[in-house]
Amino acid sequence: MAFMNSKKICTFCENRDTNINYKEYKILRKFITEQGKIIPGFVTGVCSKHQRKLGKEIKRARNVAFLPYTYDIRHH
Amino acid sequence: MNFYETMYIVHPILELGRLHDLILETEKIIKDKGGEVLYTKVIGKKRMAYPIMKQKFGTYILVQYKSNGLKNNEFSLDMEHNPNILRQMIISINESEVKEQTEDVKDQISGLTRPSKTDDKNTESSKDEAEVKSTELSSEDKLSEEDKSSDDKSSEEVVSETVEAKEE
Repeated sequence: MAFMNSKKICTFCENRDTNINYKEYKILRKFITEQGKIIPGFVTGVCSKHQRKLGKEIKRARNVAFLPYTYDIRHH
Repeated sequence: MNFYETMYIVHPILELGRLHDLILETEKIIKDKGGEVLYTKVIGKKRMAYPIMKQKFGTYILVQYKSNGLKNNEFSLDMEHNPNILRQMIISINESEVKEQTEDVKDQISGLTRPSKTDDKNTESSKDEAEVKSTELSSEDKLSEEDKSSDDKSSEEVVSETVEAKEE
């Protein structure tokens, strides 16, 4: 099975310059679902070190209303 | 001494003078609590991801300061009790993350209204450029058409000359 062999590389390990920060919420938006849930690392390919930082910053961004806590698709 | 960062959202109604007063007020609170303000940035009015206190928009302000951190709770309480501040968050940061203050707060606030005007100017200038380009293109087209016509004429003349030569 081809998809089993394709190894995902962490985008933050590849590009060391990209800063994970709650102020740069446009980058963080890629790592949440339409409903506003944090996508797990094994789906996006982010390593555990950066996933921990990512989760922390997404929660900070939610606190200051840069990102939504939840988003109900049915009502929009 | 530790370094801290506060992001707070101000009510969208506050603008210019009143916003400046509120920023000065918060800075004064920090100084009273034994801190030192290092960097202030008015990020501007943004649409929030969810409404806070029935407001869809808010003015974001970032303050970086240095203090021992013992009175951070009191500072956050003071901000919570202020009805003009919709939301606030204090986090600790490294010294490397502290930025240098280059622009004055008053300039930043007055500059919030500027970009729209400059954008308009830019768009106008771009329109002008586009018009100039189009005129240039049209002139080039005309020239090329003239060249073509002249070429056609010359070719016709050549053909007629050759026909006459053959008849002779």
